Amino acid sequence: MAVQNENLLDINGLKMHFPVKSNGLLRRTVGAVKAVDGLSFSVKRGETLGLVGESGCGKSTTGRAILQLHRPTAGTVNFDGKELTKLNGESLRQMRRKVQIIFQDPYASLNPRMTVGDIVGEPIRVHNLRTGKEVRTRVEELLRVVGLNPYFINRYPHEFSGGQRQRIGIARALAVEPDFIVCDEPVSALDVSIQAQIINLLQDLQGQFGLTYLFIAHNLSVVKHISDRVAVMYLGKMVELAPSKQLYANPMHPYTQALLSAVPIPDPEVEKQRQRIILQGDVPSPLNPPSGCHFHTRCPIVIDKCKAEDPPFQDYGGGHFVACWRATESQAQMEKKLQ
Amino acid sequence: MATASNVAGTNPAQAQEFTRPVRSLWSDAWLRLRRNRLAMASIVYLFLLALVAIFAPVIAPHSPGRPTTTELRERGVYRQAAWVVDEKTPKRSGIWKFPLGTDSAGGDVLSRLIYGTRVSMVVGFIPMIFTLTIGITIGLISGFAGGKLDSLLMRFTDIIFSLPDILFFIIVQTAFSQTAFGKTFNGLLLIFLSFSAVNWASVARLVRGQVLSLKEKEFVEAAEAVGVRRGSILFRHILPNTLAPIIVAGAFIVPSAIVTEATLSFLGIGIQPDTNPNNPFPTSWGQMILEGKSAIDSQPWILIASAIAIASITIAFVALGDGLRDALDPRQ
Repeated sequence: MAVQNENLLDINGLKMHFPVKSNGLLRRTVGAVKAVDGLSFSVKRGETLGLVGESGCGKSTTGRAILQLHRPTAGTVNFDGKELTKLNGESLRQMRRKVQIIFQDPYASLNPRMTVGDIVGEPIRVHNLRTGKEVRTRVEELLRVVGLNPYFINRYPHEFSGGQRQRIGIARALAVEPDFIVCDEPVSALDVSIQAQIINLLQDLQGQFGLTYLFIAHNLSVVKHISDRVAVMYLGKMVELAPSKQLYANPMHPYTQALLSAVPIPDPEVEKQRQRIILQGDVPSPLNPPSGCHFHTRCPIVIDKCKAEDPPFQDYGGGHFVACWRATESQAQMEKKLQ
Repeated sequence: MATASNVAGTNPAQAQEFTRPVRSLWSDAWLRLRRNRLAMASIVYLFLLALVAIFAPVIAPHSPGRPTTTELRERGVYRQAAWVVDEKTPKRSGIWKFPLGTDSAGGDVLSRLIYGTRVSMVVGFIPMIFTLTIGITIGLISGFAGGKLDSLLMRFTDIIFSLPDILFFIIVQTAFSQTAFGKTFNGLLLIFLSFSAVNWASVARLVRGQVLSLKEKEFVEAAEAVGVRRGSILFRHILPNTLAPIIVAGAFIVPSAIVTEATLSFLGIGIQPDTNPNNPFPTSWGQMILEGKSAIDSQPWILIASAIAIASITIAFVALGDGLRDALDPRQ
């Protein structure tokens, strides 16, 4: 189908800088935390794009900037032909029907003073999707869809377990019948057994409602399972983006290689053989990122060019984007280093 | 679709969960409060005092105002408490018709004490409402708007916070107490307003702090993402979550207002003793302490009775406030 290949979301040069103000009366801006520093990617209709990276690399900020919960400093976010960064007030509110978010912390993301019926019903009322008694019917339907008993409609969030709360959060996101959902580490706060349930639920819903996901996570196995394509972020920039299988089989960026080498293998024989790439040092401060390639301070195969020039985010064939000067030779070079 | 095993609550083991009544955070708090004996005793005591205040004309054995000439003959002045026999002036010996005796103007002390409950009750609750209204409004605006408006309001709050309360009250009372405005409700209105004018600052700070932390919570972000309007976010999501600490603060404002009124009346700049029998607020406990002070040698129980009244109502409110704090925020 032609529609399947159409991009639902096009992001170009997205930057999200947070000003750092000095203390004292004048509160001058003394710098900026460059949480997201120039991202360009697109999400196809109906696909799941995984977004991975370590804490503080700007994954969640990217999600919030797409939703305009943080207004981006620069760049464009084109959703289904509409430029979201230019929307304001009422038009922005209308857009919220199409784009939703599921949060990481199921304990903080539900208002403790509202019943489940109010929480899930609020989006319906706000957008006048149903009226009167139909709101309740619709909420009960949504609870059933996410695998909760509609009997729970009058309960409060504190009466539920983490997994059940996450289902409530999913029901709230579904209430507006969105096309696109940013899943901001939706399973990171849950027990492993519950993680699988929630992921299966998300996949079922995707099939049922034709949803498109941006799936943010730091767990590579989870992302591999759910994503069609995976993007890797480091310090506010995207370093690699490839179809899921391609990325896991043939990582071209040294950072991706290091990340993947850290994933334990659930087979003791193979696990013994696993070679880990240990990166030296800490992630530099996003307040003052390194020159050239942001990764050069920790890259095992750094060359002088990396320190001076920022590598372009370039397609190395088959939609495998990498931002590295040594992308084609990185694997061989890393092998050499490990010996 | 989720498989049957995924459906929470269909498991038979969970079936009994369905029959459990719904418990909101408020009903949980009420259950915790009910287990606190001291707080419950305080509620009962304060409820009784409220009844006394409302039904003072029924309960009081005599009129609290100036007695008529015939009444005065019967009452006498400086009459001792019922159990005291004055051998030098038998006319002043206590009789059970006037259990706590009479004061210098022939007023029945017990009746005046009963009417004094009214002043303490209104002087506790009405300034609390004023104070909370101003404090919540300023705090919400300041915390939610942020930026320049926030800085401006908070600097103003700091100024109010740094005012020396008692000095401010004394100045206000001396300036306005003789005007028509100052005499409204026997001077109570002036006390309400001046108390609220300085005490809202701590409430505003409290509310602002709450709003600032709630604004960053994910459920507020979720509401924004869903397209809830800013006004609804403030009133449906933020305000209800600030109510618990506001209620606790309110419970502590009441005793503070009562003590302030007593202090001012004791200093002679609060409400003035009124002998008009139709005045619903003829006297206050603070003002009775002032009277009792000058009669401490001859009629000590005037002072003792009114001091006990003030102390007990204050302790009851503080105990209730403590109980509310424990009940509403079990983590602390």
